[in-house]
Amino acid sequence: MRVSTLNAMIFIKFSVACAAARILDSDIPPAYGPRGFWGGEGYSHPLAAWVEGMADDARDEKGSEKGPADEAALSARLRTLGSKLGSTQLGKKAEDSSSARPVADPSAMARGFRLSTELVAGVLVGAMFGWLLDRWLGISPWGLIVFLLLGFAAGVVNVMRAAGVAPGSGGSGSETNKR
Amino acid sequence: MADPIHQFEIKKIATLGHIGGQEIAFTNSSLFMLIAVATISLLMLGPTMGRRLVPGRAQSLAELSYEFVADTLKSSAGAEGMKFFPLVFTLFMFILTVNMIGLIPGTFTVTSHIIVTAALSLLVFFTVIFYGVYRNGFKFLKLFVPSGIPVYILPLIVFIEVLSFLSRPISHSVRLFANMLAGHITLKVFAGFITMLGGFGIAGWIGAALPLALTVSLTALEMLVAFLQAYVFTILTCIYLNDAIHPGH
Repeated sequence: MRVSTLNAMIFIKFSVACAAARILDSDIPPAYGPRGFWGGEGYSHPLAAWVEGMADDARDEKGSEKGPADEAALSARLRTLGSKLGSTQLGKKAEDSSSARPVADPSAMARGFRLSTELVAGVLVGAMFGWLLDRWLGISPWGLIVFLLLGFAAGVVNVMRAAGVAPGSGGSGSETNKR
Repeated sequence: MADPIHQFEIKKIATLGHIGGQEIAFTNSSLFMLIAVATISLLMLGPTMGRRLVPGRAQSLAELSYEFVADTLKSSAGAEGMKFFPLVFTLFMFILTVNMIGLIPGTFTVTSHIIVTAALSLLVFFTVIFYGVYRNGFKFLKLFVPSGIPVYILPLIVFIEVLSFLSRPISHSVRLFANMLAGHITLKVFAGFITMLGGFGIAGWIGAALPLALTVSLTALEMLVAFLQAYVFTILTCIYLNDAIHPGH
């Protein structure tokens, strides 16, 4: 009898602790693991800010577009359709733009892999270009040397761009960052 | 132990003809591409035939995938980028379906061959070049000349920008290909451990529980990677298309 009541008490305590743990878990952002691993709040991928910036640019640029007539007609139709859709989904749109868009890049591994391929691709293209130049022009090691270095620089630029870090060139640095 | 590379072997199913002494064959890769296209058509066309205001499960799937890609494209290439929606949507759905079909045991993963991913990324690359030149003319070259750069280092920067531009299709294709290849080899190796340990009797069976659990969890991870890589391919396509539409930013 006593054993069973003890068991029951232990069970109750355990379940209360579990519930508390769950509440704590949901309230406090996880302090363990990579920051914003599952798209947690407080984390925004650098790509996101970059992408938002580009979207703003696109909206600004709309007035100055040019092109053949059919293209203009098509874009005009698209715009009217867009405005119609916008008026029907106004509430949703407003909600969308006010809250930060959740970026679907949850895996840190994928991000790391993206950055590393960017670097490797730059170096590879530089090496290939230099090697071809050597073969065509007969400037034996110089093409490879120069273009390998340039390719490395291009790879680093790629990585900085992909990571959303503003590359040098002045304080703002947003000229190249937006692209 | 089973060869982990064996699953990527291209097998000829039928010969279609010859072009200049080169055999044009219908392979298992082509078969799975066709299966993927058929699956997409079934999923997209079927439920949208009888459109209903309150969508059913299948129609809601089609609508969700449309909205997802449309949002991605609009947010990175602007409203004008919607001109390329058919291309981007096709790429996303094709890569996603092909990746997901590849996760079913016994099937072939089309995107684990670099020739396929390279063809897809070169398609995007040339689309960007041709549309950029068609729309902007010489102004497209402003892509390689960032503004606000001092004249004396401009030649160097232009070279670096050109190399950076040329390296895009490589990183674009290698990422998808390498993720698929590595994931499937890992799965196969861990699955191979199960049969190896299973040959050692009772103790081996107990030991085989560990690689079995790992294989199950790796399959879940691979599903995430399959979706994520399709998404990354799509968003990079959108970013590159944005360059074609608005160069010189």
